[in-house]
Amino acid sequence: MTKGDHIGRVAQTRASNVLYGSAVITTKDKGKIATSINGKYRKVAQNPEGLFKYPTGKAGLDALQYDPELVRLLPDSIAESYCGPGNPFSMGAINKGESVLDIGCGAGVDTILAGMMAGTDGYVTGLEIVPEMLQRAQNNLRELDVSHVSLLEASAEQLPLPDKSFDVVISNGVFNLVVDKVKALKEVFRVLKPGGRFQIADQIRTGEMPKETSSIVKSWGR
Amino acid sequence: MLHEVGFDHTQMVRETGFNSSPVTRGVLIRAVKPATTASNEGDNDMGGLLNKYQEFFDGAYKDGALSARTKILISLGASLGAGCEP
Ligand SMILES: C[S@@+](CC[C@H](N)C(=O)[O-])C[C@H]1O[C@@H](n2cnc3c(N)ncnc32)[C@H](O)[C@@H]1O
Repeated sequence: MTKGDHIGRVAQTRASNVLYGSAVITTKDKGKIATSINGKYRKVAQNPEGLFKYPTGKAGLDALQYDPELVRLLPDSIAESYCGPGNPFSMGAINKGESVLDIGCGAGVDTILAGMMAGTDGYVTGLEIVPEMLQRAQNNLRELDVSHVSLLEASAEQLPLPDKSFDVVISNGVFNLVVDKVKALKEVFRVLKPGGRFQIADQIRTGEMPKETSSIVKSWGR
Repeated sequence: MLHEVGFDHTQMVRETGFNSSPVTRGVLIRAVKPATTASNEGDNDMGGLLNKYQEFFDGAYKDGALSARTKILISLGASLGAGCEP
């Protein structure tokens, strides 16, 4: 394996095929991946406890050193729905009045925290692909007074949002699950204002990518 | 990959310490969209990005905790294909 093996070649081929090394992920493969993501996150929407290798819920927020002053403001029922693998705010807080997009917001815990930091002069949008997760986020939002926070059902690969509309894009544990990462990153770039920040917490692969498409699809997210 | 789409100041800030599988690592990554985008749009400098990550991991793993080969594989492009499952 050489340096370039995965790096330069994770690229788009035809309209929706994506290359991983020499393996081609087709639209059909993407469908299989989407089905497994849906199946998993439908369960996570109920309660993420025990479904991840890292701590989730309040334990996760504490372990990742989220601002305790803000975490204290979250009812237990909201905190327990957190399943991010990192703390995107540890790379820089959100300033009052800023606009924030949370890609793959899940149950919306980071979305809510960003809303608290931005205050009502700012606005925050949580975007999520699995309807059950989005419903959980909706329920979570209802428990708080956060009218400047909204939710959107969409894929990271195609953001139904105008160009240059956010000061900050955050994402926590999502890009590892996105098939066409280049497309999704281009979308982040497009919706950010000039000078805008992208703060991502995620899991990256340190071992080799499987060579066969079928193994890649089967092990997606693992 | 981030640089490829036009981002600047791409930085692997640190590891989170939580890895969701033996072949993945939790990381924090930050990037900035340049204030003026014309000069960066369409830039394809994958080597530059890899070097940044390489430097980060060389610094972080001087004791050889990761093999050189593993280090080379660590980049947004090589990775982010794995992650959040138990
Ligand atoms: C590990 S969870 C993290 C959820 C949330 N960010 C948090 O920190 O609690 C990953 C989330 O990404 C969502 N997701 C996966 N693929 C996506 C895509 N293509 N577009 C948008 N969201 C996606 C999943 O449905 C899931 O809710």
